Amino acid sequence: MPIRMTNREIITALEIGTSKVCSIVAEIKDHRPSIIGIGQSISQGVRKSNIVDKRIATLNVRHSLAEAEQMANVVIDEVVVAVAGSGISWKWGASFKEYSPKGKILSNEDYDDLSREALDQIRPIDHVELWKDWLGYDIDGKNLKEKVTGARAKRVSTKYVAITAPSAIIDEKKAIMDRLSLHVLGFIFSGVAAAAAVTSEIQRDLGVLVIDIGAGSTNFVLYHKKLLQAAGSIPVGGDHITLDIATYLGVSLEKAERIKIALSRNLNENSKVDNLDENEVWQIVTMNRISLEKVVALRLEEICEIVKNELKKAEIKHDIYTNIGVILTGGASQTVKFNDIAKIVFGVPVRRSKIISFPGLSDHLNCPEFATPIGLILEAYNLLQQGVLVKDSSFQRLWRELKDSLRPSSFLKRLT
Amino acid sequence: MKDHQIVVAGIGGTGIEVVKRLVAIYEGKIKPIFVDTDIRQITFLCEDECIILGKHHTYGFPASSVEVAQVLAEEEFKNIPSLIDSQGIFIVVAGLGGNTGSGVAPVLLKRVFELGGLSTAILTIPAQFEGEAKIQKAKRALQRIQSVSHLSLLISIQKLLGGSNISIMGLLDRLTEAVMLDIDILWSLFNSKCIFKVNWNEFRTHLLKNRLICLPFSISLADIKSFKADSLLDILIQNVGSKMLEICETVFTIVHIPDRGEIHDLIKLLEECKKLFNHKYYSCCISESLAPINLPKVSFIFAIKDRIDDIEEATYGIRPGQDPERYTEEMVQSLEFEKYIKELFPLSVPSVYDGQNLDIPTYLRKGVKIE
Repeated sequence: MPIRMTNREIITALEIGTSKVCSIVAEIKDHRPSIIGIGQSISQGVRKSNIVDKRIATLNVRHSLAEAEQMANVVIDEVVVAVAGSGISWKWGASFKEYSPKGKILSNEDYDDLSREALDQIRPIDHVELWKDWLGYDIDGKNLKEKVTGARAKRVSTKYVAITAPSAIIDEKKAIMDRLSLHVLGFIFSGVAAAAAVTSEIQRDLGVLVIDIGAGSTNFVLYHKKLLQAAGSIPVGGDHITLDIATYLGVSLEKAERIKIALSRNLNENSKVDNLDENEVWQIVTMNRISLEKVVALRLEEICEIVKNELKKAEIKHDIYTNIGVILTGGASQTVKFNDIAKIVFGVPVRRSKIISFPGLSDHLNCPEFATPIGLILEAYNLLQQGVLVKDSSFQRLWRELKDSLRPSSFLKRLT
Repeated sequence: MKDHQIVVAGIGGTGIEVVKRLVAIYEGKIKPIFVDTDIRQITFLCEDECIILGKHHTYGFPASSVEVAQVLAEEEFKNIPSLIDSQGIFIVVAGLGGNTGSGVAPVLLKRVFELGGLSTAILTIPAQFEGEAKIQKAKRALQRIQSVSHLSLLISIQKLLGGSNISIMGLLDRLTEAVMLDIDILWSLFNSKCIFKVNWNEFRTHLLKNRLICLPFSISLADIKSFKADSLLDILIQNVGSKMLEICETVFTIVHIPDRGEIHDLIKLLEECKKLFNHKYYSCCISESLAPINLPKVSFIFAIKDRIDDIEEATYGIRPGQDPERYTEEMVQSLEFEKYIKELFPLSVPSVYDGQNLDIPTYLRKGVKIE
């Protein structure tokens, strides 16, 4: 029987993706997260990373969590949720205050006012912050990372960067969590999570662009000097490549998906097809290889061009990510010739992702499609350490459980 | 049934016996024709309704072989346009396995087919005890018939007997009942705006040339059995989208009938479709032998003329750059209906970037020709 853990620290990551719902349970042991449970379910209620059918999506999440609970032998009541999809944007905001020539003695309130003003610039209407970073204060031309209260200053400015998501996306995910009586510890942008799983601190310092191409959307984040320089999400992904193949060949989407996989697998592993059912797909791939590669290449090139264009809009200089270059991750990053195309478009070294290893069952998850859920665990752990995410106290959890137990959905959860 | 809209030709001993009974039952509502080489079969029948084959060759005796009957029929049916009413339905009733039925039925059906009539056949297949020779003869005749008839329905004598000991007259009564049922079926199909006389290539050319944008959607024959009006509507909405059902100007159901057992389910389906789409509905029945190999058993075509913008808003879209004008006669001959891919992203907002809909394949949007 699953046990409700009280003395052990558990983090559960949940990614409600377009092709799959994945949940990973990690336990913090020796100041490191260790994976103890994995749950997966096919995703049917999601299109382009946005939930279009809450009922089905809820069932899929429930199925995935139940699997993870069973494997980890815990009861999941708190999750960190990945967020992706159109409308997610990266912005920076700055504010400054000039005082009389004599200057003003700075207090905590002055700093708070500055921060509030800067953040107000970042947040568009109906958007919520997913992540924010503070870039320090400029006090009379001196860059300081800490607040200096009691000092006299003539001019103070501050700068923030933040990733924001439309409230609707967050509300939909919240609604599903509510139905399942789950407490959301935090929402984390999928791109940031994926980058946490596939890049090291040194790479983030030197400058790296991470492109996470999933089934429904492509997320990108650019780090330089350990700071997030740009991020975004484009609602185009692997499903679009499938659609292109299906349209070109005039076959069903299911078959197109198999063709896409076979097309990429040949180059990656050069494996033979023993299964008779796959023979037909294999024949199609062999006969149309050049045309199919062109169809796929056009789409991949377009995705890369859009990312490049977004970076250009954010006034990112090309040389800040030339050292490490581009890292491709996500399920669709394994598509044929993606590396070569990205190399041509960005003009920097490009490589496929390798997920950072850590204890537990992570060997089972050493594929690009699991970069986001694994990164969620890592990012959530870091944020918990920094105090950005705060777990509920025992009393709060008890109160929440009591409240939940009186809700009809709680009875349903138990029944199922 | 309206008078003389159905012409029923009884060929050979079995055919004539059945049609005689049908004449008595339908009381003038069908126009009978009796065809035989054996003068004794048609002695007491109205002369206007009888065609005696090979008067000067077999002298009123039965044909000695299938080939003889075939030659006689070819000679006789060179000029028979008066028999065919293009507004009606022409049904041939014959027993296969004998000489006259097996030889004459294919020739008559072919002639009707060539004259543009609707050639349908109700045929009996000999029972096992009648011997392998008869069965083989029936099979050969059936092959010829299926290539020239729009629809052929088969009745197995073995099944009619059902293991019981009945007299020849009893068997003929049972056979008549079965044929009556089939005539009713054909009549229902005929009345449900069913187009039998469709030439697949011509039909396709017509749709494309008239800027009728076609969105084919097929279902399996097994699904037909469980069809009800509500579920049919649900399935269509699910697959085609309610917007398309609303704006489409013509709906075609194209079916080809593999065997007799499924025809009842098929009629049920066609009736439901007729109720659903009313005046804008047409169905096309293509016999198994005349249908292209890759045509699904049952497919729907939703056609819209010059309403490209509307379609793009519907659940189904068209292929961008698909211009019906570009189809030449030669191209159409080699083209199947453009297979439309069901939209992958229903219910989601189109992915638009810099004014371009990214949900449309890149190679089509950019007009890249891929060989």
